[in-house]
Amino acid sequence: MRLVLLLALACLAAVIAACFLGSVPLPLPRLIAALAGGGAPGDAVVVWLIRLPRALAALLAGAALGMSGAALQGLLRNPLAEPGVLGVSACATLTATVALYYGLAGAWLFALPLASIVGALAATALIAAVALRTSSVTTLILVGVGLSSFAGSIMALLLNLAPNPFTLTDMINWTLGSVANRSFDEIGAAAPFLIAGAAILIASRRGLSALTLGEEAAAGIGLDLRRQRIAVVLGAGLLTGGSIAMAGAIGFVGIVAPHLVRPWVGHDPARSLVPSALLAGLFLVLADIGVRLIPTSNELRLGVVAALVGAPLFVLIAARRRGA
Amino acid sequence: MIVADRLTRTGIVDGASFRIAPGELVVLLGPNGAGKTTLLRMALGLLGADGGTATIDGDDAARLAPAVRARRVSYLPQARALAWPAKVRDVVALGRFAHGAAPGWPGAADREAIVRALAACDLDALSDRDADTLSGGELARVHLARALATEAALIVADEPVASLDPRHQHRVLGLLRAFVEGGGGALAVLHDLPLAARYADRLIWMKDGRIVADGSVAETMTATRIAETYGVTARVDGVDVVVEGPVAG
Repeated sequence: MRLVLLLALACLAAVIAACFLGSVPLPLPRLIAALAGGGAPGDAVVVWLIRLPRALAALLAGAALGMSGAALQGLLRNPLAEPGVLGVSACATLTATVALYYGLAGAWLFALPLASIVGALAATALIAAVALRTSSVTTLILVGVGLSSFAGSIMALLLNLAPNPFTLTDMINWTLGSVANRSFDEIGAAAPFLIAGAAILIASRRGLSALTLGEEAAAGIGLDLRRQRIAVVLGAGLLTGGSIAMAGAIGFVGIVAPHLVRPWVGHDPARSLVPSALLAGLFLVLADIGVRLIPTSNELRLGVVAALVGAPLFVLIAARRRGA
Repeated sequence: MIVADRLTRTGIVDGASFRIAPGELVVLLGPNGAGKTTLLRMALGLLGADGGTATIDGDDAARLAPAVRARRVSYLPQARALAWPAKVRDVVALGRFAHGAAPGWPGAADREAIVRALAACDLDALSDRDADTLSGGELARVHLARALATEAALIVADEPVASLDPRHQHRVLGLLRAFVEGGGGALAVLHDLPLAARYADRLIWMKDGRIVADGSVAETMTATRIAETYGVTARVDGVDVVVEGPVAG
């Protein structure tokens, strides 16, 4: 509980810092005035239309990935499970790209979140179906690698056939992952799915603790395995899809945050859901502040920065694992 | 009470019937591949049967809600490995899952049951240890404590003493014995005939998917049955059983 409170305060501080920092200097009094709805009109635009939605998008996208990662790890009983590693992100990115390619995303606000969620759910369901037949996580990760490659190749095809440079840029941005130029409209479109996904996972989190014992014993102590699997697939799919609709593909956050949180919650997957979400959100808000402050000619993409930090950690966790 | 009536799973279990009720420790014997685990899983409704029925306290086991079944029977499968290095207390707390508890938020009744189970299995000193730092014998006791914490009338344990040293084997069976003396009922799969002879009230013998004998140790533990079931020669003298070696030929 103390951990959750601490992380929540850190997230709040990071979001405020994100509003404060940037290319236009905004001293604290003016920031507070703008946040409160007053102040100069220019300040309000900077805060309400640019910095705050951007920071919130990073926070929510990270939180969604962190919670999905923690839930998938609990379900599959493996610290390497994560939407990115399992190919869920790639599939969601692919369907999002299809929506962009055919111009659906521009035509209807909910087209992009729905498209990403369809991709995410399809991939999560496939992974869970394979998990039914095998207890080998190696197999699952290989299926994830296959899914990622397949989604990647179709994506390459779409990029190849992109009708105009604007569509091409849009599509590439989605695959790199970024929260630049997000508005409250886009956050609002993804929010219902994020809320639904988080609610499903939190409601079913007790079952994740039971799975610590393995599926057979979990069923023995009274867990409805089928229902638990469906809940995690649905919850993680909605969250990953919603996250990708907002920010594109951002890898490895979902693996690193639960890994860091676990020792603090007695290695209980149920208790790791909320802190993992907060930590992953915090990480992306901070990473996005970094992206904005690092003076590069082309702005760095959030997904690139996240992967630069996350991928080495993934390798470290994988290499240090014992057993299967 | 569990009543299995002609449970059948094609090619594995063939028309097996038995009953388990509180007040007795029943040991299920049979060579590897005899269908013991499959039979237990069907009897608990965890695995569908191709034929026959199983009831738990009068209700069809296959249709019983998982949590309701778990409150009536604690099931300890063979696998003991934990996915995460959880604390001993949290693992035992999972025994209260069917009562709506979770390791993170046990209720008052759950806490009391956990304390009782830890004490019964002599785990007080280990309750804050991470389960991955325990020896095999300690971990077996933790799982037994988890089963006790459920406070179900019956415990079904699949090879609860597999890969334990003799001292821990006796300790685990002593705990099951104490559970039965306290009014519970237990069914345990064992491979150790002397141990079975010493602790069981009743033996169920299984071979090639069929139950070949069901009765007290005195009635069913004979040199002939041991030879027929396991293909080994043995000397039997009351509850003293000595396995000598494979049957010649």
